[in-house]
Amino acid sequence: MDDAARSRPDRTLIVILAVLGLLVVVALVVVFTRGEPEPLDAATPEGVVQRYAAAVIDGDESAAMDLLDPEVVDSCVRLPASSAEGVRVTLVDTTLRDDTADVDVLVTTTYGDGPFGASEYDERGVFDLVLVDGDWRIESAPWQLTICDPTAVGR
Amino acid sequence: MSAATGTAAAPGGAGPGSAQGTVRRLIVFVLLFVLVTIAAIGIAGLVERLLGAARDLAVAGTADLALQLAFTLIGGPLAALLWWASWRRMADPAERGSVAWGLYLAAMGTVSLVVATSALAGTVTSLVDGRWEPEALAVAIVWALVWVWHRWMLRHPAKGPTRLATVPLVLGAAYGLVVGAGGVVVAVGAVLDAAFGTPTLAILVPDPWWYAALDGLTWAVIGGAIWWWHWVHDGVRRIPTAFAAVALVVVGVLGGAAAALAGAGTALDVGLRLAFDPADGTAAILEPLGTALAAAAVGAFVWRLHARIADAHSEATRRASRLVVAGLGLAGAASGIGVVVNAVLAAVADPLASTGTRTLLLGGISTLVVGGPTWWLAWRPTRRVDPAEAADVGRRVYLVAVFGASAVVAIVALLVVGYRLFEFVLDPVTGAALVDRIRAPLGLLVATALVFAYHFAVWRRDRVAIAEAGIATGRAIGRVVLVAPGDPSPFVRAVSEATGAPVTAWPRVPAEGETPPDVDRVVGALQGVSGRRVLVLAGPGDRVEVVPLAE
Repeated sequence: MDDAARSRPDRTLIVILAVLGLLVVVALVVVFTRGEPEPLDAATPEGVVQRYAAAVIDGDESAAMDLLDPEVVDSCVRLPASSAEGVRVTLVDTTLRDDTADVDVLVTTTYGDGPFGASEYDERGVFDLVLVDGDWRIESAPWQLTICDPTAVGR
Repeated sequence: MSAATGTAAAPGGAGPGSAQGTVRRLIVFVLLFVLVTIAAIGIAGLVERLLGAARDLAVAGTADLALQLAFTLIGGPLAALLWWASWRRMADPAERGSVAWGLYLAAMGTVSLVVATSALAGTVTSLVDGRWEPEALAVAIVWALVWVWHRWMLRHPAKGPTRLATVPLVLGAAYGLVVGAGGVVVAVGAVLDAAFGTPTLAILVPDPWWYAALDGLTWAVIGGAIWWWHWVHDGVRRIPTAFAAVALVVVGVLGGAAAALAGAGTALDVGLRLAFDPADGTAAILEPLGTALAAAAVGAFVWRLHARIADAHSEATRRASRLVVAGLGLAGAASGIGVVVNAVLAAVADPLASTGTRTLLLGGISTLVVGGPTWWLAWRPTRRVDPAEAADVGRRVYLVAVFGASAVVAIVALLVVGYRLFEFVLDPVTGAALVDRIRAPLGLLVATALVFAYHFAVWRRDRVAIAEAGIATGRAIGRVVLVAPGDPSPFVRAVSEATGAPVTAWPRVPAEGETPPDVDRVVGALQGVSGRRVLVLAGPGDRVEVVPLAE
C-alpha cells in the first residue's frame, strides 16, 4: 500500500515529463522543418492573395504592386512603409463571382516579445479582387496589408 | 474584570469598543487625512511660487493662486485644529490603542514618503537633464515635512499608536526595496545597453546613454536610503509580526524571484533568437537584453538575500518562501508549455502567408526552461514527503491555490475554445482558420491539464499519508482568549507558537506587587486541551486556569 502510494505521483511525474519532452521535440521539429507555406495556384484568387501577402510581409512592395488592380496602382498614394512584422494570414473563405471575388482571411498580429510579453490578437479581413484581362488582381486589402492609401483621391 | 472596564471607559461614557467611538475615530481620521493632503498641496504650491518667482517672465491668470490660498488658509487651519483635538485625546490609552489611529499613521506616513521621494527624484533627474523644476522641489520639501511630522507622532512615547505601529515601517522598507532595486536595474540596464551598442534607433537625436543611467542611479540611491533607514535603522528586519513576514516573502522573495526569472527568461530568449531566428535583425533582438540581464542579476540578489532572511525567520516563513518560488516557477513553466503547444499548432495550421512561428516557439521554450527548473528546485518533486509536512498548512494552501488558479484558467480557455467551435459549426470557415483561432486557448488548456493532473496526484498521496500517520489536520484549539497581568505580549507569542491558534489578549490590571506567572507554565497548561475557543486566566501568582468555552 505504502509502495503503491509512493510510486503513483512519481509515475504521474514521469508521464508528464515524457509528454513535455515529446511536445518540445515535436515543436522544434515541426517549426524548424516547415518552410514557406504551401504555394497555391496563382490563377486563383487565394493564390494571388497569398503572393501579395507574402510580398508585403517581406517588404517587397514592387512585387506587391504587380498584383494590384492597375487602376489602383495608377492612383496609388503610397503609405509610409509600416512593418508587417509578426503578421500571419490564414484563409477563411472565398466567394467567387463572374468577374469579382472576395477572399476572407484571418489576420493575426503578434506584438510585444519576450517570454512573458508576447500576445496576439486576430481580426477578420477581406481582400476584394477583380478580374483584369483574365488575371485576378487585388482592389483592396485589409489595413494591415495595405500599401496604397485608400483615402487619397486619385490624381 | 470590572476594574479594567472602569479605567478604560472614556469620560463621555463611550467605552473603547463602542460603536460610537469607532465611527467618530473613523470620520475624524478620514477628515484629517483629506485636510492634511489639501493643506500640503496648497502650501507646496505657494512654496513653488516662492522658489520659482525669479524664473517666471509673465504670469497669466490668478486661478491657481486663488486655489492655493484657499487650500492653505482654509485647509491648513482646519487640519491643525482637527489634529490638535485628536492629539489631545491620545493621552487616553483607549484612543491611543485604536485601529483607526494606527491605520491613519500608516496611510499618511506611506503616502507622504512616496510623494516626497518621487518629487525629490524628479527634481534630481530634471537637474541632471539641465532643467530646474521648483514645483517638484516644493512638493518634495512640504511632503518630507509631513512625513517627519507623522514619524514624530508614530514614535511619540506617550501618544504613539500601540496597534499597527510597525505597519508604516514595514511598508516603508518594502517601498524602498522596490524603488531601489528598480533604480539599479534601470541604471545597470542602461550601461549594459550602451556596452552592447543597442541604443534606441528610432530617436534621431538620442539622449546620451548616461542620462538613463543617472536617472536609475538617482532612484537607486533614494530607494536604497529609504530601505536602509527602515530596514536597519528602524529595525524592520527584527519585527516579528505576521505582516512583516508576509511583506518579506511577497516583496523580497516573490518580487525578487519574479524579476530574476523574467530577466533570465528574456535573456535566454534573446540568445535563442540570435542563434536560430535572426530574421528581425540583431539590433532589434538585442534591444531588451541589457535590462533583462540587469533584472536577472538584481532580482537574483534580492531573492537570495530575502530567502536567507526568511530561512532564519521561522519554519513557516521558510516554507512559505519556498512555496511562492515554486508557484512562480510553475506559472512560468505552464505558460511556456502553453506557448509551445500554440507554436506547434501555428506551424501545422498552414497559413497563406506568415512571418514564421520560430519567435513564438523560442519564447515559449525560454519560459519553460527558466520556470521548469526553478519549480523543480523549490518543490523538489522526487523528495519523500513526510506526513507532518504533508499536513502543513502552507503546503495545503499552496495545493488549493494551484487547483483554484488552474480551474479559472481552464474554464476561460474552455469557454473560448467552445465559442470558436460553435462558431465553426454554425458558420463553417477553413480548418486552418479554426486552428488559428483556438491554438492559444488550447495551449493554455493543455498546460493547465498537466499542472492539474500532477497536483491532484500529489494531493491524493498527501491525504493517504496524513490518514496513515493519523495526524489531525487543523489545530486542536481554534482561538485562545488570554487574560494576563501587565504586558501580555510574551504570553501571546509563546501561546500562538505552541498552539498555532490566534490569540486575543485582554491585559488585566496587576494586583499590588504581583509578578506574572512563568510563560512555560501557561503554555504547559494548554497541553492536550482542545476546543473552538479556550479562555486562559494567567495569575495571580503561579495560578493558571484553562477554560474551554462552549460552542
